[in-house]
Amino acid sequence: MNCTDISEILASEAPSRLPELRRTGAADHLRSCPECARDWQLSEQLASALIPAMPSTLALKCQRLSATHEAIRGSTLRARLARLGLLLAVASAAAAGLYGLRMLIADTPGTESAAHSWQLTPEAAFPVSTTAPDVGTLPAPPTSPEVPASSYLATSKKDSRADLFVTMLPLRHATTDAEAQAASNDYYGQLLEVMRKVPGLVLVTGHDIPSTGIVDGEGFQIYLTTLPPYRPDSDSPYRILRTQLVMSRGGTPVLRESVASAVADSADPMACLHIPVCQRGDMRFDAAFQAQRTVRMLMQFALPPAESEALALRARVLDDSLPMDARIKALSQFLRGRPQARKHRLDGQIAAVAVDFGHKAIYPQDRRLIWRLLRGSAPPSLSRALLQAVTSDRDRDVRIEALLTLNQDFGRDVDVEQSLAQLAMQESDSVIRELATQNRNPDAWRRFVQQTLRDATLPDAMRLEPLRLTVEQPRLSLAWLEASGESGESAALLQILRRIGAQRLLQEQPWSFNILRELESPAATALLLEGLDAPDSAVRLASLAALSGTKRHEPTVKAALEQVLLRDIDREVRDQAVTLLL
Amino acid sequence: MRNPSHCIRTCRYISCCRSSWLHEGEIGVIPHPRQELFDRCVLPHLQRLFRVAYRLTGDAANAQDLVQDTCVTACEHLDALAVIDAPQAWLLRVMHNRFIDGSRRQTRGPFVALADGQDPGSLPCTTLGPEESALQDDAMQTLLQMFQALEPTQRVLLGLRAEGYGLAEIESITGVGRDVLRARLHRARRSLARLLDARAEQDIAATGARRSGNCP
Repeated sequence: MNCTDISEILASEAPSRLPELRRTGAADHLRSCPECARDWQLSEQLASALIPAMPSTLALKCQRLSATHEAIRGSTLRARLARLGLLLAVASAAAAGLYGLRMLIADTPGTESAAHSWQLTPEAAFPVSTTAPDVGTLPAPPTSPEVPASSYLATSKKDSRADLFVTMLPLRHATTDAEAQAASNDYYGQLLEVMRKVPGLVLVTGHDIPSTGIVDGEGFQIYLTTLPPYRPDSDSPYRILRTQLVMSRGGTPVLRESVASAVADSADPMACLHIPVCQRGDMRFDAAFQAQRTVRMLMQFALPPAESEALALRARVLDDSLPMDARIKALSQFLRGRPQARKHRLDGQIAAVAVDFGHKAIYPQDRRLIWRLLRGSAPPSLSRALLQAVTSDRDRDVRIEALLTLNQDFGRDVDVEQSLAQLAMQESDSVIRELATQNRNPDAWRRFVQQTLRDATLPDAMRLEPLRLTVEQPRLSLAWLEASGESGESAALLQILRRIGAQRLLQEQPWSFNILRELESPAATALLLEGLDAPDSAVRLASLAALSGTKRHEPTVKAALEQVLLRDIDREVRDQAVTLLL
Repeated sequence: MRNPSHCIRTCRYISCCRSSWLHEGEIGVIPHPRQELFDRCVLPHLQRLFRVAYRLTGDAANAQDLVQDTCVTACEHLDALAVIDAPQAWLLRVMHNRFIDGSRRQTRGPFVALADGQDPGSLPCTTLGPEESALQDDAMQTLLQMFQALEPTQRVLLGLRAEGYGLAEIESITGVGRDVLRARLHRARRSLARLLDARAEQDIAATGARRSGNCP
């Protein structure tokens, strides 16, 4: 026997079950050939490695997957059949004449009823307990809650001091009520753990949190809420959060901007980000991918840098030998995160450098960035620098950005108020003039937004600008949304947005998707549905994100989502559609 | 008694069906016509799928995920699966493809799953602690650890082979010709041997350093 024979045995035979003669021959060769002997030994060791018994619940889980899949398939088929039935009915009716047509239309189920037939709910697929867990029984921080069974924590291997853990409750589904109950409680425990690890930030919520409540922590509060169903008519504090923040549904430009601004600008200590982790078994890997992407996004835009990174960034910001753009980039990284979290980093030295950049940076977008970065945490000494930028910067957008920061951080400062009043008298630009008096006279600003929006003589971008500035200020956006229906502003807005079209909207007015999401109007829904047909998948994703609120329950939206599910070429878009449908 | 297929289609809340269909305290599966097909074509092979998945992933939790992922694909092709002569090979092929896809995705962005009861504090640390190092003295542990360090394609071949699949079966699962398979199997074993040798050298060097007092 030679090396080739041994290789053949190892490739296609069971070494332990060789006939006696071949086994002797093989043994003789193995004694003389250390390489073959090693291969033989490795093969035997691998074959003899212990494999744990299959978990008893795995079969049940797989059966559930099958049941869920069938339910989706059945619904889609029914919808298709219903549409086919409708087509046949219309064809028959045409042949039968007007009278027959009338009769047939009356009796034939239309697409609307087909869409209504979509009855699958998460409860039907993967039922979990609907009983609210007892938040009061949770261990209070700093006592660490036990790490639950049946859960994942995701983090990046690259950073051993990961700032954020994303919890995904139902990846391993509970098989009993008791297990589901325990898992829900564990989830709260995990949230506490998350909050302890990330100072100043983050509420991570999932679909299945079955109650609303506030848990007091050490230096933080966690706001827990049931996300679906969202009731726009309720006075839940979540409505406020929701208008300020955008539910994250992927890495679209709108989302990135929204997350960044929501986290950076919100003065609300309970600011939250909703990370919608799909809970269906057949979406597990996508959920993991989505959560991972969200973590990366948060790391990039929202979370403060870790201590060692912060030290390195600070050194770069203060390093005179570096070019200014590199120092500005380091500053934006250094000051990232929510205002509360970055306040202590904004010491005298850094503030002085920031002001210097704010005045001297060559590019207007850099100067805008500086004044925006300081918003929410600007120390009192900066009011003079901001005033100077408002009055003397040569770029209009920079002036507006500085003015917004001034309004938010120094709105009650008497000196600032007087200076702004003086500015309002001398200013020729109407937007800056009105912004300067916004704090003193909010009603005037409201009227200004209304008038500009309705002024058909202005170009679209100019008509929309005051509204954009309103929406960017969390304290004003909610008030606008509540009053917009009665005042007819929403109608004017939708008229402009429809003229721009969904495809161009994402590039030109990305903030408008947030408004479209909240506006309860058929025209807003129609515009978003138009976005689902856009050639650019980023537009389709943004439209889906905006449809993910109450709109997704509308029959026309459901039908459109089913079409996306069946036809869209982008897998990410299809995944998002599935999430909304379920 | 309720009609089972009616329940899955129209019942919004499963709790209303529990009393008639499920054992007490259990959230079970409501049967539907194709469920039987699934039970017949897939469930008998679950044990074997799990064994192979465990070999590939080296972790019970990930193995379950991989098996469930395979089941999802099986659901989409149940009719075809019902008339296939060797459904197990088909399922293993799906699992193989899923595993390779998942490995590629993981390479692009690693994602760490916590095993049940595992302390999250231990997650970020990628170097071995003293207890873990002591555990690694076990030859089998080292072998399995090095097996997981192999490339996914090599893991598949050696894993299937260790499960007793012959060249013909591996060919049908992976879609790779027999001659190429022979060569790849040989290379995979060589790679594993090299990894084990390198590991042994590391251990010897570390022991030497400790004895000479270079390491605290």
